[in-house]
Amino acid sequence: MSDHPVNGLDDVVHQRVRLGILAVTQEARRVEFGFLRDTLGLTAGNLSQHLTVLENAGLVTIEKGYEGRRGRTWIQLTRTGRQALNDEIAALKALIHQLEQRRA
Amino acid sequence: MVNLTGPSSDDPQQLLSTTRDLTRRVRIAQRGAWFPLLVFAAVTFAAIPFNRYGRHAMHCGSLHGGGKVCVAYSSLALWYWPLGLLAGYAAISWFYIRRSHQRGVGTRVLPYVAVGTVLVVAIMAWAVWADTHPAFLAGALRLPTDQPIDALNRLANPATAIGFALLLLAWIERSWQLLALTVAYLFVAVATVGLGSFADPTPWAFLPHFLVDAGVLAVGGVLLAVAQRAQGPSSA
Repeated sequence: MSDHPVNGLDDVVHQRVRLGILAVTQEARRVEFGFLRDTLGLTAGNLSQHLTVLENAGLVTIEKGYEGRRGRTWIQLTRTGRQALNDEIAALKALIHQLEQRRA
Repeated sequence: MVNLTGPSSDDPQQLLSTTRDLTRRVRIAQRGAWFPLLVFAAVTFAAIPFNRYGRHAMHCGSLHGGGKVCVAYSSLALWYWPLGLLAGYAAISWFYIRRSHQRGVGTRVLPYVAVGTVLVVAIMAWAVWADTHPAFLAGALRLPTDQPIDALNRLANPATAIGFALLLLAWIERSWQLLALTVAYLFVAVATVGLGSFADPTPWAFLPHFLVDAGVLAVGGVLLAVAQRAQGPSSA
């Protein structure tokens, strides 16, 4: 495999909604489903689908519970998720750097 | 709100820009440092009667090279500060947890509370030791003049315990505003320790120091609250 920066992009993480989810969860101890939905401007169904992909990949954990009678879902980034996000950002930066060098 | 549902773009520049924008929004949504500032302003204001009306004790000891060193302190204030500061950290924890549940985004405030609590315990232990063993301290640390002892007391007091923990909070919240306020507060707190206590022998000599420290915290808290209100409770 060549060492082109494109090869550093992870298909699971590179999808921009999922990248957004990881970016938001990285900044907080944990985030609630509604906060993520509103921040990213998604529908509940769309967000759920992406969260399932991320959870299956071991990048986030999803905790469901109740506060009084209100059901709440909290999402937390895992260590693997943090590493995957950092790798993705590094790959994107390398890609930009290479594109800029080619233009110069 | 960031709309990620439009036509897809794999432009790396745009992806990075969106990621940075999201990061900034989440950081703004998490900030709540105005509350700790106001809590510690209140704790400092409330310390005034304890410092003024508590029983004042004086411990003196002889120095090896001759001479005597004495430390006077309010025994009530020695009890008040650790209890007041720990109650303050309990209130701050409650505030951030409640806010986390309301907004749906949890701040990593535990390190701040933990470091703040450790600093309170360490600095109060130092204060008790220094106040009750003045001669031993002066001898052990080879401090023949009162100037180095003064320098140590300037660093090891409740105000600097509050300030050093606030530096950590500024880093957690990635807030330049809080960092600037904390640096200003630490400068004022260190510079005003002992203000007037030698020139003015009245029992209220400590008052300017307390008023200035609490005033800086209170004004800083109000300024941050106004700034955070202007940015909105959440950018979401």
